[in-house]
Amino acid sequence: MELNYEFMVRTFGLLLQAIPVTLKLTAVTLLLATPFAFLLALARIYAVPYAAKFASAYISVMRGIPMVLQILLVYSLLPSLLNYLFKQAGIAYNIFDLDTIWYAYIIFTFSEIAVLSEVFRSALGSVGDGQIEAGLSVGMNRRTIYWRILIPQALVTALPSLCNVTVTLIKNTSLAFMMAVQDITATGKIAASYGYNYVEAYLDVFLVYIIVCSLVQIAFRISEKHLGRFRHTSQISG
Amino acid sequence: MLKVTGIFKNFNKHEVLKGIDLTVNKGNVVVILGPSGSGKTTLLRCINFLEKADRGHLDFDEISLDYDTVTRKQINDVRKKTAFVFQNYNLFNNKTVLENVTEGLVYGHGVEKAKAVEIAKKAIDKVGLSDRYDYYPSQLSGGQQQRVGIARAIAIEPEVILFDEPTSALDPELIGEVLTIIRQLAKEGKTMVIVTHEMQFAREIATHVIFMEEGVIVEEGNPERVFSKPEKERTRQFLSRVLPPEYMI
Ligand SMILES: Nc1ncnc2c1ncn2[C@@H]1O[C@H](COP(=O)(O)OP(=O)(O)OP(=O)(O)O)[C@@H](O)[C@H]1O
Ligand SMILES: [Mg+2]
Repeated sequence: MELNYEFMVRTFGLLLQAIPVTLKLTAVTLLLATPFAFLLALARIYAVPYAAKFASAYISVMRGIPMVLQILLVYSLLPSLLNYLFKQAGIAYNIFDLDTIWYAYIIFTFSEIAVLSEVFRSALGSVGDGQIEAGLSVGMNRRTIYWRILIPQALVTALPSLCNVTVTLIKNTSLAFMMAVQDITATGKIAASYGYNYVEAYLDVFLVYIIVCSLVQIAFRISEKHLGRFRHTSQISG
Repeated sequence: MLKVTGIFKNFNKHEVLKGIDLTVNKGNVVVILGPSGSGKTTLLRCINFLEKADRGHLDFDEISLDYDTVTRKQINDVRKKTAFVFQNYNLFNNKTVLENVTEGLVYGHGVEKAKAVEIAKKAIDKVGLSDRYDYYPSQLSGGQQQRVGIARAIAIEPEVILFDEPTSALDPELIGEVLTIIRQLAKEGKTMVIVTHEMQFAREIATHVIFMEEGVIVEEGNPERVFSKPEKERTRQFLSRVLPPEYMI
């Protein structure tokens, strides 16, 4: 089989231009999910009545639904539902004008809330109550202790998991093509369909994902080193 | 100065403190002794509300409160007058030695940053770590970490410092350096409540000794008397177990 190298190079350039869309999907999702995930984690750590139950139920339900199914369900139901509601409420806005990337944000955020809350919970738990108590004993309040002592340490502990979560999410966002979002995968598919150069296009897509994910992993490793300066330092006593 | 009366505390129906009374006067060094599980740690923790007692009364200078109706403000007021030295140091691991001490000053007591650094350095110098300001806890030995714990406590100039077995997590050769600092604080007239299993040290430093068992105070008094002529059989048994024979009469 002959590969069309000229096509591959050209498509590769197109795919590079789609990287920002994939990164945007990933970053916005993580940013939207973080505060909710944090609250769910706190609810479980402090066994808040009802909230803790809700959190565990939410997490296990989200875990049980394949991403593809979430997309099919939400993407086929939500627009018509919203359209109906808007009509009933007499809102003139045409929901079908909404950029479909918003559906992607919503779907990915709902599932990342579950994933992140588990990461946060174990990371916050790993710091231990002793330092909270030490903070209280010198007159600090809980919020200050969380911001200045607990979260910075939990973040460092969580970085390897966060790296995994991010890389997995980058790969999952490739499903956004189902919602007509022009990310890396969608761009590759479209390029391929013009001249039926599927193999070349998918090889390109494959390469681009590998590059993006590797860079993300490197970035995480650097931040771990930087933010984790206080740990793993060799014991100097005397 | 500090007086708690009728403290009760249970964990899941298991009564751990059964009506404890404790008075600490200015300049006193009160040492609490007792077998493991007798409630010593719980008592200390109830004093500054790391644990909330079920019942009891606390008077601390102008503060007067009942544990079952205590307000957040009263809790904060008591915490501002006390400091706690933990068995496991509980240093802030993401902060340097200097920051460990300034943290409470700045964010707990509202001291201005520059002033806090000045106070913190003095406290750290006092525990002999003036060459370690910028070290992280992970770079210090256990003894050094506990000395930072003490510096953090004295920096906020508490009226009472509560020590919960400050040396029992330490290797034997590191115990001395920590005890030396506590002795020094006693000499300066600091008011302290100390839970310890270091009997020799207890006898030497205490102005008042309390022997606790199963959530009640079995016996208390001045150290000479409690150590050499314990009135209660339980105290005698405990001391004979923990003291080397030459101390017993
Ligand atoms: N958070 C807790 N939850 C349940 N039980 C507890 C808790 N803290 C303490 N206890 C129980 O209360 C009792 C008294 O504990 P405490 O730690 O006050 O004893 P202690 O005198 O300090 O003992 P040690 O000398 O071993 O430190 C023990 O039986 C302990 O198991
Ligand atoms: Mg104890």
